[in-house]
Amino acid sequence: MLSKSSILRTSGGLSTKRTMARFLSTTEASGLKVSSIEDSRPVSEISLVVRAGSRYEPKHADGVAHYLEKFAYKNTQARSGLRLTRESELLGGQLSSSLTRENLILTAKFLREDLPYFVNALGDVVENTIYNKYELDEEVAPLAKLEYELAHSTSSAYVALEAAHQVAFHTGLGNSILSHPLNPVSIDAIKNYAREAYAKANIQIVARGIDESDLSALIGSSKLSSLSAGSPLETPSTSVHSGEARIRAAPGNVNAVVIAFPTTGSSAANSILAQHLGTAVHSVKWSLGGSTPLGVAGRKTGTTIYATNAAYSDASLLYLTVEGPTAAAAKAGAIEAVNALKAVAATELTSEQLTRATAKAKFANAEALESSLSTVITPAVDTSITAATLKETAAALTSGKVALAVVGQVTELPYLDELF
Amino acid sequence: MSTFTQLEAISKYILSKPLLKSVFVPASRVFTEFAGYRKMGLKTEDLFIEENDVMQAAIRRLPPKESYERVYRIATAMQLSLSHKLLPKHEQLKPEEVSQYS
Repeated sequence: MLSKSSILRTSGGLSTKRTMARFLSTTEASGLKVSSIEDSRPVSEISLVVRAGSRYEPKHADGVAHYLEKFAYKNTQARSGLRLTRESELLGGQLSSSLTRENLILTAKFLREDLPYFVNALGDVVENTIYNKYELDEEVAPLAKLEYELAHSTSSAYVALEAAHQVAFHTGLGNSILSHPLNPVSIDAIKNYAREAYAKANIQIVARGIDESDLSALIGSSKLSSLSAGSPLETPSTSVHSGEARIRAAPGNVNAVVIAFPTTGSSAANSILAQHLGTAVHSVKWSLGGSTPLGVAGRKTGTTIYATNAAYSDASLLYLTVEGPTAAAAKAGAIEAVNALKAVAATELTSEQLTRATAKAKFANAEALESSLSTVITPAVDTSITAATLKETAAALTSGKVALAVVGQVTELPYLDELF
Repeated sequence: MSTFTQLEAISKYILSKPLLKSVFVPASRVFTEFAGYRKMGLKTEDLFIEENDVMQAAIRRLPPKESYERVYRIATAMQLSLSHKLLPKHEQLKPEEVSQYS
């Protein structure tokens, strides 16, 4: 049997200790926290990571974070949305925005020499966006609706995951990321939320391929420096709950079951546990991930099963997703998936299994950082987990709170008490 | 439609030159007075031809109150036109009351 050290020897023993996190230097510029890496690439990237994701939405303005995200790069006092689009096309840059449960992320990617323009443009967006009512009616709301409907009509697993979050956390993290089209979000609610969210207390700047002193100087001369200090947005303290959500879907849709295990506090063991059980990404492309318990369970029942760990700042959610062509298959898959987790709770992993899971977790973490800088704000994976800790974690998860969400033919899909 | 932007550019240019300003601004006051639409309670923007996409978009984007008042002014003016009358002096728009749509 191959051990990790023998593989490393054959590949020349490359150092595995080089991680990106090491090169991130963190400073403060004009009251904003700035983390940057200078790696001399031709393409630079700068992200404003704003702690204003869906969990911070006020109860009376559910979905406002999604609208605010869609309002990025619209008309501002200084330049119209059209001008911003044309100018960034002229420079060959890309502006994008994304929303997670915790953060609203505005990202600009551009050629090194265009740094001043894009720092200015981002500053302009957070400080000076006008939030016209007609832009909400004509562009933002239809786009938000389209995104919601697209996400909900193409993936049963996505619907199930959103429902599982709501069951597991109720408020805060339980808010759905995308705004429901029926949500009445007013332009005033968006303005208020923007004013509170776009404040120095909430914004962290993450940059790659940018000289730190240049960046500090540019931030000082851009609109970013004149943002109000503000205070962090409020969110209810996270509590976890058991329960289930059953959502009917049209026949012919994929039947999806999400079994979620919410815990408060960060759990380092969760991501390793997920890697051991088997994630959606396999080590070899197009392979089925043969050696993972969930991969095996999936093949046995004709379903796709994978584990994911969603790490949040004060909670984490390990969830098993089962997607099956029929409700019966999905039910069988869900039972197998729970059994796989129970097996970890019953017997300790062998050292080889633990090494494999740890290595995969480490790689996934470093790779996420590589593809999107904004992930630096998620907690790093602690790789010093022992088999005993992992067993305890699994046992605690199976005996703790469980949120179940099923989407599809609800009459045939499993109930929570049938799984545990 | 480029004419609105052209008009705006021209008026900005005139306002930026003291000589042109001193000629055109009084002339425009006289012109508006003679045009007489304020005596029927109309604003300049109410006279724009609205059967085109640009104006339709602009009208759609008006706040509800502005939109209502615009329709009211036009209806009043139509009635005055049919009955060959002008508004009583105190109801006519004065230059200082006329503001552009917000």
